[in-house]
Formats: sequence, C-alpha cells, structure tokens
Amino acid sequence: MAILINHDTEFLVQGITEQAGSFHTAQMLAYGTSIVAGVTPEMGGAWEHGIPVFDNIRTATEATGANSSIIFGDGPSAVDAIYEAVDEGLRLVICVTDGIPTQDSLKLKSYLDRHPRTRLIGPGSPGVLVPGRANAGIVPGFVASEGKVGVVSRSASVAYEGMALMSAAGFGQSTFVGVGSDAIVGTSYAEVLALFEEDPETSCIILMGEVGGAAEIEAAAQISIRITKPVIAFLVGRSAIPFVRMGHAGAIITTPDTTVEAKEAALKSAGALIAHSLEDVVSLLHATGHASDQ
Amino acid sequence: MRLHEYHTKTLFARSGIPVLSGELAGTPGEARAAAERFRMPVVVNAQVLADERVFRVAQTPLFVEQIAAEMLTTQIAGYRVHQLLIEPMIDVTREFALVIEFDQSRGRVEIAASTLTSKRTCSELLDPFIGVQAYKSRYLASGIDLPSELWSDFVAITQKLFQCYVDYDATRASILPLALTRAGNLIALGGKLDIDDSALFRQAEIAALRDVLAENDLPSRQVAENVRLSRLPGDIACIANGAGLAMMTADSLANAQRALSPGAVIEITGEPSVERLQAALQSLPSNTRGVIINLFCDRFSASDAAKSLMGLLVLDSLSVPLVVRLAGQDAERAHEWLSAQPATLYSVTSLAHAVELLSHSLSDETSWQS
Repeated sequence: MAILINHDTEFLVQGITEQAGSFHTAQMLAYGTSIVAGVTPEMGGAWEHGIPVFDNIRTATEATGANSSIIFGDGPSAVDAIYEAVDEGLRLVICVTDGIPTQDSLKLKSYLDRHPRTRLIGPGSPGVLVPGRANAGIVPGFVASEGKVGVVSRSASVAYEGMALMSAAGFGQSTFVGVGSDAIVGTSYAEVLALFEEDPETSCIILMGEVGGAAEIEAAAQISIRITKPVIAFLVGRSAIPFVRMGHAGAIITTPDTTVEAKEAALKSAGALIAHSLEDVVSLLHATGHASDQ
Repeated sequence: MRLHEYHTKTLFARSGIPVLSGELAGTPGEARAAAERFRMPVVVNAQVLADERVFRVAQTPLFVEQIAAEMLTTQIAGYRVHQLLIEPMIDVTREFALVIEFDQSRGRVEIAASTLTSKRTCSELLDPFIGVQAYKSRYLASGIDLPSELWSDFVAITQKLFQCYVDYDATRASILPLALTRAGNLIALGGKLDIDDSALFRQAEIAALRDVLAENDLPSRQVAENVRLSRLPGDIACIANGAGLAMMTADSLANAQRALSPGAVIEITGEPSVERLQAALQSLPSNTRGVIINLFCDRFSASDAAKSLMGLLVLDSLSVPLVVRLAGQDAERAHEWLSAQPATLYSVTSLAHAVELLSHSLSDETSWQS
C-alpha cells in the first residue's frame, strides 16, 4: 500500500509545459508514475511527452480522471495552482515550488484547514516517492530502493544522501515524503508519522529534521501519543547560532525550543532514537532489527 | 530583506503613522548642515540594519559634526554606519514597543505591545484574513497602562501598522520606540520593517530600497543567484548543494579529532556550475582557514561537477586547503579523475574523511609553520 499514493492515484502536472515541469515529467514517467494529464493555462490542446495538456484542472479531470497533482512553476503561479487544485477537490497536491510569500502561505493554510478533502505536501517539497511504483516530484530515483523504512524529511539533499546510504546498506524504503522547506507547509511531520503508523508496509520510520520552527517538537508529541513503530531521528543545524537563517526559510533559531538540542531532547524523551550522522542512521536501523530486507 | 529606519519611517508616514521628519546625512558636513536647519538639540541616529537603535543627542551643529564623524567610522553590532538620520529632539514622557510579527516557530501572526521601562509585554494573535480588530488593540493599550483618552489613537496606529505589514509583505513590522510626548501625542520615533524575500517579486518599490553595501554585513545573505551564505563564528567554509547538506557538513566539523568550527556555510541550489562555485569561493570571509565542498550529485554527474571544479579560476589563488567530497551519480569515476589532477585540492568519498583530512592538513600546517 505505501502511504499517500496508491494504485488509483492518477496525477496531473500543473506547469507541465514549463522547463522544470517538462523535465521532471519525463523523469517521473520513466519511473513508472501514473501521470494522465498536464495543466498549463493557455496551452490547452498541446501534448507534452505524450500527455495531453489542458487549460485548467476541471477540464483535465473530466477528460482523464486525474485525482492528484504535482505543481511546478514560479511562486505566484504556484499559489494560484494550489487554490485551483483545492477548489477542484484533488485529494493529494504536491507543491515542488518553494519560496511562497509568507502572507500567501498563511492564508493558504487557513483555507486548507477549511477544505480537509485536499492534502497539500509542501510548498518546497521534493516530492513523494514510493520505490518501484511512483515518483511524484523531483527525487532522483536512483537513491531509493524498495523496502520497509518510512522516510520523512524537510531537507531534500539530506534525504537523498540518507536514502542512498540506506539503500546501499540494504534498508529500502516504503515511502519517502518530503514535507517541504518553507516555514509554513501543508502537511507536518506529525501527520506523516501517523500515516506511517497505519501503513502495514512500513516497519520503522526515519525522521530527518533541522533547526528552526516547531515541527519536530510537534512530531515528538505525536510519537509519544500515537507511534508504536521505532522512530530514528536525524537533525541538522546543530552548529547554527540564533537569528542566522541557515538556507531554508524556516531554518533559523528564534527561541530556545527551536534549537537542534531542544528538538533532540524532546524526540528522545518521546522514545525516538537519535542519530548523530547518516551513517549512524544505518547503524541504528541494524540495531532495531526491524527493517532489513537482507 | 530589512529596511533602514529612515525608509521605514517614510513608509509609515505614507500610511498615516505619525513620525518626525528628519534629514539624511552621509558625511559629517551634511549632518552639520542638516542640524542647522533644525532647532537644537537634535538627535543623530545611526542607520544600521542591526536590531538595536543607536543615537546620540547633540546641543550644537558643531557637536553634530563631531558625533557624525565618529559614527560614520565605527561599527555597531558588526554593521558599518553609512548614513545618519538627523531629527529634532522631542520631549517624551513614556516609551513603548509595538511589534507585528510572523512567529516562525508557531506559524502564526502576533501583535505585541510592551513598556520599555517595566518590560511588561502583552500580545494578541492576529488572523491573516481579519487583521487588527479594535478590541485587540484596546486590550494591548490597557495592558501597557495607556491613558484611555489615547486608546483611539493607539488603535489607529496598530491598524495602520498592520496595513504596512500587509502592503509591503513584511514578516515583522515594529515601532520602537512608540513615544508618548509631553504634549500627549503618540509618535513613532523609530521602526523597522523586515520584508519577506520570497515576496520581493511583487514589491518592486521596496526591492529598490535594498542597501547592498549594508547587506554585506548581514550574517545570512544571497551572494549570487542560487548561492546563499550564512555566516557562523568559525573559520571553516562549508559549501554544499542544498541547505540541509550544507548544515550537515557544518555540523560534522565537530566530529574531527581536533574539532573544527564552521564559518561560512554556503548553499548552492541547482547544479553546481562553474559560475556558482566561483561565486561561493569568492564570497569566503577573510578568516577562512579551510574549505569543504560537499556535493551530492543527484541530477548531474559527479564527473561534470569535478570538471567544473577544476575549471575554477579562483582555485589557483586559494591559499587554504580545499577538500572536495563528491557522492551520488558517477562519484567513483569523478574521485579517481580528481585524485589524478595536480594537487590544488583533496578529493575524498566520505564526509567523515573530508573532515579528518582537513583537520590533519590544518594541524600539519601549524606544526610546519612553528
């Protein structure tokens, strides 16, 4: 089963005719992802990599039955694209575009709360990947392999490196979810953890986090209340200092509980195992004895 | 992006928030000339992007000139002073702080008012769709013991501040201090607007106010397109393709036998082209003792990255050790190729090895020099 994506998930790509959208659509199709339509305003009637392009989501879903979307494109068009996807009732919306203006994100988040049918992943998400079945986003497929470890991360680069190491050591993944690098995102770690908990194909969970924000603290609360599967946490940004933003919009120490130390303490007391390097993640996976395919 | 106080106050005035009208000076002579147009004493206010406000009171134009000469050659919290704001001094009985801010860690917007003397703070949550309801402002006003005859003025100021926050895509809008004058008026003596970088595409007027010179002193800034630098106190530069990977590289320095400390942490987005790598290496602070470049080759081949690295003109002039760690697609071949090149850099295959190698090469260097 995996999480978020199943056998009847059919994607449309918003921004399919733009450079990034077109490039990654080809990659996703090559991976075997079910993409049935593309949407670019004013480009309806075109074809891209053998996929029909529509002017809007309504005509795309009527013609193809698409029920989920992946969004590429610049900031302003991505906000518009998300609202359209929500209003057209798509169930899963993955926004790869990052750097959405904060005031737009705040309104969007409030709008999503009132439209619970749609689950938004991102903005700033590298995507959702179910190894061997579907790659919805920009994750390089070669890092992943099929297995039982659920991986959730804010950082794309740390996740790629981590999954490549895990795969090499024989720990494949059930699903990878990139929750997104923006300060405000549609789906939190806590929600993804709950999905992994319910997923029979996932036996162990890796949470890759970073300095800044409260998402990892919320995840710790979720772990202590609901999660029975082993969770291994690896956080980056230990060397950050207060009020210096470390790349991602959200990666900044603003209060004492946004440091890596505070988050690790919360996760540890919730029962998560703390890894101090990606190599350490692999060692801990060996130690849990749950997730190896070998 | 942060706006200077004088820019902020210009925008405040446009929104109807009461401010003093001052004059900007870039030299001691200009400061003196400005002072001569005001009634003495005046306030000489250093324009820096730091959080604190630094000003001095002067009784004569000559003294203004002296103060200006000092301020323009000093640093305030690491920021050089390039401009001064000369303003008339007013008689103030009480001072407050008023801040509307997006709380990053909780993902919500708050308004807070506090008294500067007793440090009492009251705050209210704001709904992005609704803004500041008058009753919320009145809670704040009574919380800071503002006389009730000033409540309606205070409500108006909070609502105008929220309008600035929205109109200019701020992440933080502050009035500091909000002064109560002896004459019984509220006035914004100082203020700062922090603008959301992600929204600058629709804030052309604000983007044009960017002070590139002053931003060179900011600890976290864009140094070129797709190249972002965050400045930590140490002296080892960490360059990586991805914010998370750059942080991980910086964190790993502590694991060396002789621990190293990160200085410039540089994130390259997209492919690490010659131009981006060049921009990253050219932005290194002068205290840099060593460099790690850590690239996970996801959508490009490591061999291409290796060729870009060897094509860097700055490599010849780099006077500190450089360790390159390539992983991902085609990494082994790239490592072999790099290792066979004339030794301007070290090539390794693991991050832990990169850190150890750098640590050793730096301690060898020390022993060799002494």
